[in-house]
Amino acid sequence: MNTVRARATTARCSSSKFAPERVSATVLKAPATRIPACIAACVAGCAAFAALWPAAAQAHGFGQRFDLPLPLWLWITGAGGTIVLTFVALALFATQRRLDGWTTGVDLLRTPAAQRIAHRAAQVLRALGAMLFLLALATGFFGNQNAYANLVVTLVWVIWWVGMAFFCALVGDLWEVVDPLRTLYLAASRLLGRRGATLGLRYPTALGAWPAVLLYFGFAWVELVWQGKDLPAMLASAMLGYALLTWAGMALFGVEAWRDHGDAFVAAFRVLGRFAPLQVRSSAPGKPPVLRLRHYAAGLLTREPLSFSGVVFVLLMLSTVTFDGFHQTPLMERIETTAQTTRSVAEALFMLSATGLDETRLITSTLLLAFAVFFVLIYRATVAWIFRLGGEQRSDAPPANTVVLTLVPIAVAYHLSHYFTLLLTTGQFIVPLASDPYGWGWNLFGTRGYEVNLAVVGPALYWYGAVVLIVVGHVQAVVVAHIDSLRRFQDPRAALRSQLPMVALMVAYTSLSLWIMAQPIVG
Amino acid sequence: MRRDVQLLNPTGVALSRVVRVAMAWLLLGNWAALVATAAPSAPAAAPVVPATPAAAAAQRIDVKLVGKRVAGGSDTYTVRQGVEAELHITSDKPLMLHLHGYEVHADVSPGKTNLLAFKATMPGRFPVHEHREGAGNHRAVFFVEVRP
Repeated sequence: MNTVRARATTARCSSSKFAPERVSATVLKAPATRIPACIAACVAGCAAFAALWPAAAQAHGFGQRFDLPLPLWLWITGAGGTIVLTFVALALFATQRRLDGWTTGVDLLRTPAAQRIAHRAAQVLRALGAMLFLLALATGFFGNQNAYANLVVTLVWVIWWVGMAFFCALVGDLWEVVDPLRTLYLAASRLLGRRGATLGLRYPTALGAWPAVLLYFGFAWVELVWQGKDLPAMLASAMLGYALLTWAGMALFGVEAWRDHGDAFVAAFRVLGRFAPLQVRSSAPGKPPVLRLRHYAAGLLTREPLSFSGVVFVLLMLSTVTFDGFHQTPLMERIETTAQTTRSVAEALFMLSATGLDETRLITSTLLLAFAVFFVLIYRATVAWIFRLGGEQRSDAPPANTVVLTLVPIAVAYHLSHYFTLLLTTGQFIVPLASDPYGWGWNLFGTRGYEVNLAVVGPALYWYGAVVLIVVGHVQAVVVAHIDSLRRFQDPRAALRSQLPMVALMVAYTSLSLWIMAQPIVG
Repeated sequence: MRRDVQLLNPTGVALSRVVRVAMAWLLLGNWAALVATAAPSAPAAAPVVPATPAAAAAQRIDVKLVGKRVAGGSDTYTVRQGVEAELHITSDKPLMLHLHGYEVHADVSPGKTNLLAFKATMPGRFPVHEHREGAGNHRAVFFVEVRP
C-alpha cells in the first residue's frame, strides 16, 4: 500500500542526520498553516523534538513495499491455472450438491449462556474500540508529528484499514461490533439522558446508499492522493471530520438508518464480511443480534434487496483496490508522462493546478474516478448480457443487483495478496508504538526498542502466497456465480450459458490482478 | 430443497465421485508439475551486471546518471542476495542519494565516481531517492532489486 509512502519518507527524513535544520523547518511549516494555533504550537514542539530524537532516523521506509514483481513464469502459471481451475470448478459443481448448508449455517447464539458470553465480549470489544479511536485522535493531535513515531498513522492505515479488512473478510464483520462512532454516539446520548437520541427525520429512500458511495470515494482519494494522509495531525483532523459528519447523520436520521446508508466504513466492512464464515450483526432496536457459522462466501448469495447505489459501492471498492496496485506500475508512470508532455492536456492540468493540487495528483484523481466509472460500465454490459442469455427468471430468484456480489471473492483475494506483506512488515511498527503511542519516549510495555524486521517476508512467500490467494479467490468466485445463476434462472441449461459472460469478466479481472503483481513497483 | 438439488445437475452429466476426484487431481497435479519444473527466468528488463572476478562475493555496478535519470536503458539494477554490492555512480548533477530499506546514503558530486556500497542481505525491490532538494514527494532515481 502506498498510503503512507510519500509523506512517511518526508517524516523519516526530517530527523535524518543529513539535513535536520532545513527539513524540520518544512515539517514545522506545513501543518502550522492549516490547523488551529494551539495544535500548531504543539506540533512545533513535537517537530523540534522529532528532529532531536535520533531513533526515528533508524526506522525503515514506513509504508513502503519492497516486494519483487512476480516472475514471468509464475505469472503465466497463475493465469493458466486460473483458466484451468475455472473449468474444473464448473465441472465439479455442475453435479449434485446440496445448497442448504451453504446459505443457512449454524446459529451460535442458541443457548442463553452463549448469548451472555457474546454480549459481554461485545461490550469489552466496543469499549476497546472506542478507547483506541480516542487514543488515535489524541496521539494525532498532540503527539510527535513524525509518522514513524506516532501511533495514529500505523494504527489507521495498517492495523485498521488493512488488518480490519482482513479480519472482516476471513473471520467475520468485527467492525459491526466495535464501530467506535456508534459506541461514542450512544454513550454521549445516554449521558444526555436520551438513549439513541435523534431528530427522527425519515431517511429519504431516493438517496439510497449514495452518501456512503461519495464518502468512500473521498476516503479512497485520501488514501491514494492526499498529502496529509500520514501527517498525524492532518490524519486525526480527517478522522474527526468524518466522525462529526457521521454523528450529524445519526442525529438527523437515527443511528442505524445512517449506518445503513451513509457510513462508508460500515458498508465496506459489511461487503467484506459477506465473504466471511461468521455472520455478525449487532442488536439494533427491534432486531436481535446474529452470530452464525456458515460456509465461506455464503453471505454473497443473499436474497436481500440491493439498490443500484449499493452495486456502485461494491464496484467502487473493487476498482479502488485495483487502482491502488495499478498506480504503482510503470504503465501508470507512462500515462503520467504522456499526459504531461501532451500540450493540450498539460495546459489543462496547469490551469487546474491553481486549485492547489499538483499535476501528478490531478492525474491520479482523474484516473481513480475513471477506474470506478469503467468498472461500472463493464459491469452493466456484462449483467445485461447475462440476463439475455439466462432467459426467464425463477419466481424466487434473488434480486438482480446481487449479481455484483459474486465478484467479491476476487477482490478479497487481491486485497489479501496485495497487502499481506505490508501487514507483516510495516505492521510490526505497532509493537514499539504500543509502548510509546505519542512518540514522547515512553516505554509502557517495555517494547519501545523492538526493531522492525523487513526481511520477514521473503520473495518466495510473497510470490507463491499472492498467486495461490488470487487463484483460490477466483475459484470461489466462479463457484458462487455458478450457484447464483442456478438460483436465478428457470432453465438450467440457460443458467449455465448465462454464466459465460460473468466467467469471462472474472478471468479478465483475475488476470488484471495478476498482471499488477507482475509489475515492478515504481513511484 | 429437492428442487435445488435437481437443479444443480442440469447437464445430466453423471460423474462418479472417483472420476471427479481423479479429474481434479490430474488437472491440479499437472499445474503443480508445471510450477515445479518451470525454471525461473532471468528478468528481461534489468541490465545484466557482470560480477568482478576478483571477489566472487562482491558485485560492482556502474550507474550513469544524466539529469537525475539513468542514461539510457532500464532504471532497475539487479544484484544477488548475499553479495557486497558496490554502485559506482557518475552524475552530471550533484545529488544526495538514499537507498530505501537499507538506509544507505551517498553524496554524489559531478566529475568523479561516487560509491554507494551495501551488503545485499534483504531480498526485494528498493528505490533510490534523491534528497538534496528536501524530502518532498520525490520520485525514485533508480531501483535496486536484490534477488534470492
